[in-house]
Parts: sequence; C-alpha cells; structure tokens
Amino acid sequence: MDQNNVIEAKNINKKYKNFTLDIPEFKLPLGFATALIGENGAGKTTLLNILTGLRQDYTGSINYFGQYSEKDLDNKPEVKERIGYTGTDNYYLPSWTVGQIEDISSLIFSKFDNAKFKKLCNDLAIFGNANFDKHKKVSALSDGTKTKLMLAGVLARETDVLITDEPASPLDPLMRDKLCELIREYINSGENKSVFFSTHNISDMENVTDYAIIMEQGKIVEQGFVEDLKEKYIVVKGETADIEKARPHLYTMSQSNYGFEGVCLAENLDKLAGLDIVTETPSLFKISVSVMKKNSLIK
Amino acid sequence: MNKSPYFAFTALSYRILHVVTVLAFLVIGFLADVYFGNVGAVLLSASIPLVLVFIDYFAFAGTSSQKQKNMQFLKSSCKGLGFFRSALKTDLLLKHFCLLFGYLGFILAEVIYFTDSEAFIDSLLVLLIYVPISELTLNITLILSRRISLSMVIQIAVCYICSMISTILLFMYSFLLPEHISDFTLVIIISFIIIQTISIIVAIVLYKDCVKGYISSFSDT
Repeated sequence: MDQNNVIEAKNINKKYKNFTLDIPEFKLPLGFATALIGENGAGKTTLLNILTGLRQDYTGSINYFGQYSEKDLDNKPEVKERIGYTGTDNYYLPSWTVGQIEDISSLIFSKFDNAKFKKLCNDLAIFGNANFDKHKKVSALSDGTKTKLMLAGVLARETDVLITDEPASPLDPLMRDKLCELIREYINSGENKSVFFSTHNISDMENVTDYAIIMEQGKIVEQGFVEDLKEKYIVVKGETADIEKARPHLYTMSQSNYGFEGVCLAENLDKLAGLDIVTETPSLFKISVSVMKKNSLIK
Repeated sequence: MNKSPYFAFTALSYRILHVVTVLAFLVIGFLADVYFGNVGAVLLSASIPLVLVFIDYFAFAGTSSQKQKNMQFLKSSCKGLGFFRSALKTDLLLKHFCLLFGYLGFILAEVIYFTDSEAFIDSLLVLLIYVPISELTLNITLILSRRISLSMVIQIAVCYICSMISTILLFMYSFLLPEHISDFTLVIIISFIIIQTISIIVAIVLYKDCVKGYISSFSDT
C-alpha cells in the first residue's frame, strides 16, 4: 500500500448481464479532490458502491487508509466512521423530519457534530429565509434541497474521506459553486482529507478537481492529475483544408464552416507539422469528452 | 422520492401484522381442529408461511424496490448495519414464533377436545421437528438464493414455500406411524437433537452470509 493513497483496490470485478466492471488497479490519492468521470452506464456508481461497502457481491481486494481490508468495513466500525458517503438519490426516508435525521445520524455515527449540522443547514439555506426547522419533513423539500441536506449530514461528520455520487447533478449553478467551496474547505480542514466524487458536470466541478479518473464500459481508460492531463493533451484548431490531414492524429474532431477543432496527444503534435494550426491548453471537460468519445460505444 | 405502491413500511406496522397473524392462526388452528379434524388443521397450519409471504411482500417490497435508496444510509454506517442485522435476527425469530403459535392452536384443541394421546404426542413431536427443519431450510435457501442473486422478496417467498412443503411432508409422514409411538418417539427425539444441532451450527456459520444476501439484494433488486 502506497502511503500516498487513501484507498487502493486490486482486480475489482463485478459482472452484470451485459456489463462487466473490471478494474485491475485503482488508487485514490490522499489529500486531493478526485473526480470520477464517465458516460451513463460506465460503472461509476457500481465502483463507488463497492468502495463504500454498499455492494459486496464482487471479487477483488480493497485497502483503506493503508491498514484496513474490505472485510474490515463491516467488522471494524472505525473504518466506516472515517468514510463519508452520499448517493445519487435521497436516502433519507420521506417521512423523516430534519430533527429526526439529526437524531438518527447522531445514533448511527459516532462523530456527528449537531452544531455543525445546524450551521450547514443554515449556510446552505435549506429552510430558505427561515432558521433551522427541526420539524421540516424531507418530503416537503425539493430534490436539490434534499441533496443539500444529505451534504450537510455527511459534512457534519468527522471523516477522512468523502465519497459522493453525482452531488452536483440536482444542484443549481450557485450551489454547484458552493459545493466546490465546501469540498475545498473539507480538504483544507485537516491533513490527509480526500474527496472522491462522480460527476457529469465537469466544467462546474473543474476548479475543485485535482485528480481525474475517466471510465468507459466498466474500465478506467484515463487517469491523472489535472495539470498532468493538460500537458498530455492539447487542443488543436485549424483550417477546413487541413481536416483530412489532421484527422488521423486527433482523438476527436468537430467541424464548422470555419475549420476544425480537436484534441490530440501533445506527443503527437509534431505529426501535424506543416499544417496551419493553432494550439491551446484543453479544459478538463474537453479532455474528458475526447477520451470518452474515443472509447464510447456511441457513434 | 418515489412513493412505493405498497403501504408504508415501518417496524411497528410489520410487527403488528405478525402479531395479528399469530393470534389469527392460533384461533383458526384451534377451530379448524375442532370442526375439521386433524387433516384440516394440518393443511391450514401448513399454509401459515403463505400468509407470511404476503406480509413480507408488502413490508419489504417498498424498501427493496429499485427506487428506494434508504438502505444506503444504514449501510454506509457500521452501527446502522448493526441495527439492521439485529432487526433481521429479531424478524427471523418472530417468524418462527408465528409458525409455532399457529400450531399451538391445533395442539390446544387436541388437548381440550380430544383424548387421543397418540395423536397429541404425534403432533407435538412433529412440531418439535418442524422448527429446526424450517430454520435449516430458511438458512440454506437464503444462501442458495444469494448465489443466484434473487431479490429479497423472492428469497423469502422461496424459503417459505420450501418450509410449507417440508411441513406437509412431515405431517403426512407422522400420520403413517401412529401404531409404534414409543419407538417413534425415541427416533424422533434423537432426530430432533441431531437436526437441531446441525441447524444451529449452520445458522451460526452461515448467518453472516445470509445477512449479506439480504443486504446485497437491496442493491440488486
């Protein structure tokens, strides 16, 4: 186990009828925010559920914090105490009130900070203009607000790694920005804090993403620190006349009346020598879409 | 949150349903034995698992359906998982008591209205052998059904149907041997001890796997 990783997994395999999650090696870097990117059905949620222990019907081994195995997730309470998790859908019962969520969370998690939960609820404007209302029912909240409530619940715990599945999807742009802020605050709140989140909102989450893992069809097809990926790939723009010459060397290409734009490996840039092209540093969004397109079944 | 088409599952409503079933079958078993005799009561008692299937179907279908993610909250915590396991253990015990009480009505009727001691001992012994066998069936079925990834509702249905079939077979077998009750008693008692021991060992060794089956089925369904 590398001390620089908070979670390491080997030979993770989960078979469905028409899909297989097959990850020979997985590493979640310690002290960073890692984004898990991939198209629908790529296996992101399955991977997150396996890492958090929600799924147990898989083969492979997982090491947590350099000292615990996947078996310890159920046997040693301290392991799950150190992992915060939120899923894609609201997992609080609709009949629960906010006060009951607070009580239940205090009961099932050892390090749940009630004062912090109340503060987060107020900071995230879960009750609109009103102050903390413990009688408010979950069923009375909107989808976005339920996600905010789940985030408040998980951030009120003292954990070392936060694993969250599509936290940005139901949120408005302002709240997505706040989410980035919360993730950064979480990482900065102590040494060795890490965040692992899946997202389709790559642009919105880019400024908080340190490390990216891109999945396609149950496999990790690309991963690395965002800054390294931005050096590995490059955006190329050129004239219409050069499209056919450039096409073989580009990962992906889009055409317009004015020319083409594509992403290629920086190491292949010399193969485009002689063409009238302009290059620029790609965003994580462009890198991700290019890698996904290259490996996707979507034609 | 998508509303379940089934009535809201709460621990209380689930237990109330079980208690109602227990009492209903105590009365029905008693009346059936008085008015229809042994065979009627036996068939009725053997159908208790069918009623429990329906209770479980309504209770768990909402919780285990694909659109309900509430279990994730419990599963994300060791303590929550502990509560779930403890509840599951209680539920298994509760089911056995339900079955047991159903037969008690039948036995009470035998004691009060009939003086046929052979039939009474027979039914009592069959009851004694039934409990560990149903427990064994329950555990083994859960494990087998986990292997083929059946949903929780189907798992429960399958194990009850297996229990029901084994009950009917046992009763049929016991009615064939009323003549040699003392030898039969000896054989039954020895068998009971052996089966009880095996079932307890199986339950202890494989219980965790059963729980895993239940838990995984929540995410599989």
